[in-house]
Amino acid sequence: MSLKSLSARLPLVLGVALLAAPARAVPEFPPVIADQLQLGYDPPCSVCHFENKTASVTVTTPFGYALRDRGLTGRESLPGALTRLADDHADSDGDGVADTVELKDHTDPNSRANASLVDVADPNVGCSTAWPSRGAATPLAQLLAVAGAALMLARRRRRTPG
Amino acid sequence: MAPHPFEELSLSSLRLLLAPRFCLALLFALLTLSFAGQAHAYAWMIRHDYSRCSTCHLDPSGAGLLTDYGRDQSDEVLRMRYGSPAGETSSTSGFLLGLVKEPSGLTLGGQFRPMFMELKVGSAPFASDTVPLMQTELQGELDVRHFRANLSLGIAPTDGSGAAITGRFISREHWVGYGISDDRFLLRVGRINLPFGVRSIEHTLWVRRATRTDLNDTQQHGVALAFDGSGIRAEVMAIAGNYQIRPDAYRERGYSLSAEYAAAPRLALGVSSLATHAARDLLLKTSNTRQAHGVFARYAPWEPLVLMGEGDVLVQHTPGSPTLVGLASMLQADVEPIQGLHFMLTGETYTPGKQAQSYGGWLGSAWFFAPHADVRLDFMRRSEIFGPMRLPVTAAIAQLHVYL
Repeated sequence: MSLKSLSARLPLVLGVALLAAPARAVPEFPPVIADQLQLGYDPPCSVCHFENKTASVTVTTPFGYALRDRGLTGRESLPGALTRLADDHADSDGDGVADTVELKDHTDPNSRANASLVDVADPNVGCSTAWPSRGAATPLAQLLAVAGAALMLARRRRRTPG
Repeated sequence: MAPHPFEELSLSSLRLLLAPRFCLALLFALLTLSFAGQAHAYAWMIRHDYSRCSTCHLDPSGAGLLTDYGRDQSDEVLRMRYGSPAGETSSTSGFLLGLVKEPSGLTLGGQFRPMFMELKVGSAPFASDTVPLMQTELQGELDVRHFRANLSLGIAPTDGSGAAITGRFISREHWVGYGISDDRFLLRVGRINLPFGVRSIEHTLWVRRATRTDLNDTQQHGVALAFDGSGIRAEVMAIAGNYQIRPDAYRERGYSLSAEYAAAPRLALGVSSLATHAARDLLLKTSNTRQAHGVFARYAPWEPLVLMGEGDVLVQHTPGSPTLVGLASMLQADVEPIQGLHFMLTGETYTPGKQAQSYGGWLGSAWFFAPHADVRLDFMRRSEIFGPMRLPVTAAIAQLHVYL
């Protein structure tokens, strides 16, 4: 196989991979926080998730830990944890302003610098920016898609004379 | 005209990669075995007089793909031998348990690491988390004369990883390099692990997390020059930013460097330094100039015991706020009473600055029970400071790790 023919087939592999992506967490939690605290905006994932990496194991920001300390274990427990957080006037970043007040003021409860939560969005990563719908392909499906495309290409190559 | 040696080798390698049998083998390895990966950075290998990383790893600063010699050593001195002589290398030490022989110049590896964790924060009950794809990665390196090209592809356990290519597809490393002066120097361009401190697999240790120099996804794009001489290894990197994150404001730019001197076969002393600036810090969400400067050491007074320590001064400057000076430290003892069975005791502290000290302890064990495979159990207890709060955080972690 020449480099030219390989480069002609590469877009197919990449296309399959990109079609299978992206798989991101369904944004269930921010609206719950917004509704309960009457924020008027959905707080970004990075309020709870370390470096904006969304999975249950990454709820490790100070605000995320404060919610865990108050019983957060999943979506059902979030309202109760938020109520306890508000009742306790929890201040995760120690700047003297309670977390719930900070969220209503559009400032990050993890940041002593009182960074705005609405002026600048969380970062985008990778090549895809679309927020997917529920049921988007899983990483395993992405992997299978790429492996399948590679297999298909290899078989086509074997069948091609010369 | 005969093809250029580089082209010939590249195409033969690509043909192999596209061969159905090879693809099936990889698929089998990922989905059934699911146990892939290069042996990670085991800084405690200094107990076997290996102060240099490049003896076993292609990366002169350690971690990642293994050399052929590194694979042999992982079989001879890393895994449990169950009575068989350590000097006999098994045929399974090669890639895919020796089932596939890479063509000359191509090195392949990969790893798979599922994790189960119980986490308790404060007064809350334990919460369970299973992360089946904690680490799933394939990596390859093509070496032709002095040219080198390295690429890792994997799947992240979370969305939003800083190593993401698309969705949860990630590439932690991708670089091209050129060896100079009999490969004592290696010049690299691309996404590279930051040279800083003890290169350990425990990416959540405060010395790694606070300096943002872990092996998980804090690699940066830039240009790095590594030196690997007798008794001294060093690397300096000009950081251009992580170009897998947008917008540009989030990209940190600066430098990172690390140098280690082997004062004795089982004693290595090192220094590290890092300074970066980002217009919008990932964590603080505001402009931030941060520095980390530290020392680290590895010492094996007795073969079954390795002591490793690191201390880093942390400086953080955000506009409108006083400069914060903090400290992150770690001391770890690795005890290997029987070959292949490790017990680790780790103490660590973290003070971001103007806050009380957080401290924690880890008790762990790792059993390299078979070629390319180990299980690891960790119990972690931390007392962490968040603003005015001090929260106890307890975690029990079980991991299986298999490398190709």
